[in-house]
Amino acid sequence: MKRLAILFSAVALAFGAQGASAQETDGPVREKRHEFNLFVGFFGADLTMSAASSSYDRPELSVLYEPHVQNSVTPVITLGYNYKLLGFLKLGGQISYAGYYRTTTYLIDGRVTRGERVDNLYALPEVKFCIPSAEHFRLYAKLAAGARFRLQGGKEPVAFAWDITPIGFEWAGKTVYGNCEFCWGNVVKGARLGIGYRF
Amino acid sequence: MKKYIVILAAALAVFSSCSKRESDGAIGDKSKDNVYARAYMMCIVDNLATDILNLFEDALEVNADYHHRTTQFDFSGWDFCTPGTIWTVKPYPNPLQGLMMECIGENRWSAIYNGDYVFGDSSCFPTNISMTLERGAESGQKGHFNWNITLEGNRTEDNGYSCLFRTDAVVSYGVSDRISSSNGGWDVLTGIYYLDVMKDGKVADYWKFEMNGSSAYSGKFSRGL
Repeated sequence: MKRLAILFSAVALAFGAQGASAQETDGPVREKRHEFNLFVGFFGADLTMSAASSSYDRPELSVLYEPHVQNSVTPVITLGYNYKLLGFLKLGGQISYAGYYRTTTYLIDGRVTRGERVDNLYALPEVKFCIPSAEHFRLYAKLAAGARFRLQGGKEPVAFAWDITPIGFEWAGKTVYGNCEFCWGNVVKGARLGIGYRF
Repeated sequence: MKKYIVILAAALAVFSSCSKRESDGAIGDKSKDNVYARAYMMCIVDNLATDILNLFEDALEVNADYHHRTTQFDFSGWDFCTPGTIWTVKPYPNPLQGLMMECIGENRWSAIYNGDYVFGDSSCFPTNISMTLERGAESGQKGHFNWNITLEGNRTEDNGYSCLFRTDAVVSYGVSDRISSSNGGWDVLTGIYYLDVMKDGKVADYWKFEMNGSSAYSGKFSRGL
């Protein structure tokens, strides 16, 4: 996992560096209104499927006989779009895809049911607040809320979904740039790394 | 630009394969079959029995001590070893408050408990138990005895689960020379515990735990209707 995070970071940095160099050669770039972002999120979260602890932490029959559901960690791919409404405010949305493998374990006999695939699609309108900072380094925060749709497997075909990014970074150019953001919600718990393009 | 897209695609592919491996790694360890049920049996049935045995040895120890009897037990008679005498465990500090201990013959007692029973940090659930005890020889430690017991009881837990537990014949709690400290427990256990698991009032499973003379944790556990 760590290697992958480093690898993806390197890719994002490379994009940012390319954007920076392009900007240096192109000269000042006027403020862009549209931006697209492609993210990979680590530690995808699906709170509705975590039914119980997987450890035998207390002597109770329900712990022995009821299923313990665990989800494998899968990447969450997010495509985002933002439109610059005001100097610091952008409106847009994000569409995310996450595939989960659900493993069910029964402690009483070690029986394991695995491999059920659950595919989720998230559609979340979002508000992005940009904080003025250095030319090649920007800070922002995002609030997003919308719906989660089950494409395959699981229960609850539609459910509420939310995603909060208390802090995110953009670095390098105004046209092509790299992203790193910390987020919490029921789409991704942890961090997202991505690349962005403004026009 | 194209080479970055290739790198990105490769990174995603590797990440996906790693995620799959983590999924495989989450599969339960089948070698742990019944370990949890055995632990439950020990936590609930065996510990309940030994808690009661400890209380009996406490009662016998303070039988001649007026001060201790009045602080730990309510009693209907002075001598705990006289048939018909009933001692009841006071609320503090014992969790088995209200345990009724009655002498029913020479070196023989019965115990009845209806209340919540908690083991360690586990949840507290209503537990009823009826037990007979026969005191055997005193072990190498003063005041620590070998016991033969029979018991039956039930426990009601959350989510519709409950259990009935019992002994068909006598279960012996013996003390070996390995135990050196006073009231150090019982490590020569012989007999069979049975436990029926109930779900919504119907029998869902059946457990059998055979103790063959060594410590309870090394007995033979089996399950299945």
